[in-house]
Amino acid sequence: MTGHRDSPDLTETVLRRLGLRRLSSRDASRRRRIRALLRVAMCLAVTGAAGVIILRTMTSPAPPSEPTISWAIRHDMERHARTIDRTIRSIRALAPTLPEPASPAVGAAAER
Amino acid sequence: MSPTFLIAASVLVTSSCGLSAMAADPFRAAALAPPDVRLFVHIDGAAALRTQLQDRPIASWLGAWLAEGELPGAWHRLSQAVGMDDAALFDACLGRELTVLSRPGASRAEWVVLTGMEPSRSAALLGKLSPVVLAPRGNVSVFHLVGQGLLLARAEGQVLIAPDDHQELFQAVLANLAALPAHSLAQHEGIKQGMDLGPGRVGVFVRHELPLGGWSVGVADLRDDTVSLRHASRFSNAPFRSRITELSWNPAPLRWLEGTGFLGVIEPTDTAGGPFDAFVATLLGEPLITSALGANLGPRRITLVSDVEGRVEVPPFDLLLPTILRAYEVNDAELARTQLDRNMLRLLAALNRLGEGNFHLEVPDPDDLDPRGARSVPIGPMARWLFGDVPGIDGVSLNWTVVESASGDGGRWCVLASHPGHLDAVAEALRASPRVNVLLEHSAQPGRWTNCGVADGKRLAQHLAGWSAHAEALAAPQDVQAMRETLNLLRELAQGVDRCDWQLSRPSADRVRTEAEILLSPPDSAGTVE
Repeated sequence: MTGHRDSPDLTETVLRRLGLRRLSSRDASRRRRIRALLRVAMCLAVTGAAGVIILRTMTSPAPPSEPTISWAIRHDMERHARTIDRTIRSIRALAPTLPEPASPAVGAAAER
Repeated sequence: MSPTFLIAASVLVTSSCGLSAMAADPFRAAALAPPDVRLFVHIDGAAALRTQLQDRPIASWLGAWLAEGELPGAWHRLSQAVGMDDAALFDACLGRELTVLSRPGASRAEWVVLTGMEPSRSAALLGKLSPVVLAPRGNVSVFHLVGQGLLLARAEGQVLIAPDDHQELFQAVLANLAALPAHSLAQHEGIKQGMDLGPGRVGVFVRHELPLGGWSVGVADLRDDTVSLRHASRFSNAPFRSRITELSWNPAPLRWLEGTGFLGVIEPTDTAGGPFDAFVATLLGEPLITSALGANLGPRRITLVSDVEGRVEVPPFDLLLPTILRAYEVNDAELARTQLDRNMLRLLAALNRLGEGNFHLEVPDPDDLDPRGARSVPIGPMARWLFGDVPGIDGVSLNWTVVESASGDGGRWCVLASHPGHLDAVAEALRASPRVNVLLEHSAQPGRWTNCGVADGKRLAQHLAGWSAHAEALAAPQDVQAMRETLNLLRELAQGVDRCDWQLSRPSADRVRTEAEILLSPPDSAGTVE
């Protein structure tokens, strides 16, 4: 059986992860600077977004806390329409309708 | 009176009035309205109108009715925001000329208000409200009044107002403000008909919903204490069953009977009756009038509604009992006496058959009747069966007589009534006719009227007040409160109207025209309103 065995990976990165080689002080310093910069950028982004939200909230008109003219007109129109509808139904109810055939009780009342 | 009442009134009732001194075409703004607008209301001089109607009962009624809503409060806050009182803001914004347009929207009705304002004044008011400035449309400035939920557009001398959540109609009128459209509501047949109604400070156009379909248009005006109304309608499906009259007749007899009822209607006799005749025919299975009597009828019939004081009845009751009276003009009075007796005895027999013997209505022997006297037959059991347990119902009777005017000029009449007192009062008035009422002389002109009528607002209000206290006699227990509120609403409205006269005609099967004069009750301060 013929085969091929890979040789072990002994690159700098693997050796550093295995703890057999240390990062040079120059590389370590460069990485700390990058991390610091990222943290600052993150803080700036969050602060900026919050600022924009606060700014927009403060400059836009406050939502109406009381009924607006528009809402009041719509509300009153619907309310008055209901009143008119109820009035018409009540007037219609006044019209006599054909009742059931007269019962003997009516005749008894007449005799009294 | 709240100034805001006119805003909503223009949308809701739109039956108010204007000042004749400034009468103009109230439909000129229709040129700016899209063709599919369903409601068009225009008021010229609303500020002057507000002042003129101030303190009148009709304005108090309308103001009280509308004050229960949210608009007065919202208007007050807007007034405070611009540093004006409510009335002054109304006069400034809506008092010169005001047009309301409305049409159905996807979810609810759209509306806009177009108002005439001095450019300097509208600029000053807008400055106080700090609106958001939107992109202009041509030479029209557009604003968003966020705090009030309104869009505004300002052109030369005009301001367009609409809700910000339904902008379609606003955008359509805005485009028309920027450039007059080729097609608008002004081309509609109803608007052209409205222009033919003559000048007036108030114009209203409305499309009817199905199944009626069609449209109505009206013009109103105010002279001193009197509102004049002219109206025309066309229906896709006309709601009338009666025929169109071929007769030209004079409605003057209605005026001879003044004081004998609070509601009176006079009609021609060639229209095959009305709802009352149809009801009786359905109830009895026989016509109200025999063919013999029908052949003797003259051109006019009168229906009067009145009331009698229940406290003098036996047994007494604390209510004004309504009475109804019908008078038919006849050509031959002597012939009519026999014909009417036979007709009424036939009706009584039919009622007894209807009650299957339980009504016990007495059918008099024709030979026993006084040839010239009035007849009276109690029909209380039948009335109780028909109308229920209403106070005074047992005292209802069927009364009839034939009357000739002493002078001969007042005609000859068969009179039927539900109360002998009402019959006597009308018979006496007809015998003494014609009486000329100078005040109303101008309104009694011969014509092919479908009907003419008169209503006495004060007496009607008194009558309704009594029934309001006995609403339980008119409605089922669960409906008593609604019935009482309705009667109170109508009573307060009637108090605002001293008198109303109308004349209605039907030029064709699908058209109606009305002319009316409404004498308003005097201001409360005059001290004559009860």
